[in-house]
Amino acid sequence: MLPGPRGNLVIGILASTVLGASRYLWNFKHQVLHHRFTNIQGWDDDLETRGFLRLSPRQAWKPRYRGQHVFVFVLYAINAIEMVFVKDWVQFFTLRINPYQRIPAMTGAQKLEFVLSKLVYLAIFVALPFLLLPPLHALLCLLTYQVTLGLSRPFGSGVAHEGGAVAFPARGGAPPRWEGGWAAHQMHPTANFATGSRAWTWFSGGLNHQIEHHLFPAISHGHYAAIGPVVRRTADEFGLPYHQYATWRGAVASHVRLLRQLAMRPERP
Amino acid sequence: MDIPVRSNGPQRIAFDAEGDFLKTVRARVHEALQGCAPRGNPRQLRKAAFIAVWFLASFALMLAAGPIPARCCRVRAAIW
Repeated sequence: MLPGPRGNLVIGILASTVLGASRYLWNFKHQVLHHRFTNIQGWDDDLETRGFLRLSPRQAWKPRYRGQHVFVFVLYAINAIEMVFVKDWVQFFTLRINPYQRIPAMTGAQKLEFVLSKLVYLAIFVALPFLLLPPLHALLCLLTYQVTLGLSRPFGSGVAHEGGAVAFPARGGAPPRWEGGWAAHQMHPTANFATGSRAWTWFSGGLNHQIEHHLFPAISHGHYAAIGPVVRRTADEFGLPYHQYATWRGAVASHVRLLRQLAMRPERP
Repeated sequence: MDIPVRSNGPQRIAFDAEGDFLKTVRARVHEALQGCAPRGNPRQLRKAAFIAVWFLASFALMLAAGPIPARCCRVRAAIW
């Protein structure tokens, strides 16, 4: 957001403290795993729900996924609460993001930042409201905040990757090798939505221009609408897909349809 | 891009060297943005300041709002 790294670091620390989420874990899960290995099973942590949901056809089907397109809304609503109060702590102590990936060891300063930011969050956004307000009122405020945060990730950017329009690529070989490079890969599992809506661009922070966000994460999202046609034209020339949903509702509907499809037992070959 | 990991999942993953797509799209985007700062433009800073004020004001209002109004308590009592 700012031109220099120092200002961006301060904003990153403040934002993670206010949201209650660990900056270190987010950087590894999002910047390293999700942005590099988008929709690749075993690598992209956005596909990992600790067995609660089947978000990719590459994941094994289990009977408990029946009806996931209905109960998914409840899980999304509580996912920030789980991240802030449970998952971050489990990952901090076990140094494991999911069954597949370990977290690079944290330095002493990174551990200190993790603990301090969690304590500041708990003091300001949990303890203070409960001290000043009746418990039910404070609880409602906390739930409103966390449920809004929980719903904003899957419905703000998750629908851009886990929908019917995009791909869940897999490759063979040891090690699995992706031809065409990272940038070409990004075009297959990523979709834009509602790019004609300035309101969506404003409220989502440009995440509706998900393709441009993935290819140019260091460019301010205020420019995504301008560079979108350039990216699209270049993708067309190189024979790469440029997935797009006209509206946000279309993206959500596609996401729910995919979840319903994945909830059904796959037919045996 | 080829990063080794210590995991019980796939041990490594490898992307081929970047082809012409990334080079071309980068060059075109930088050309399209000539004359604009790619980061730190004033509109973004104004937006960030607006959101920060909005967030802090909402939180302060919430703390200052006091207890839940009596009519809500009556509704709650009726439900229970």
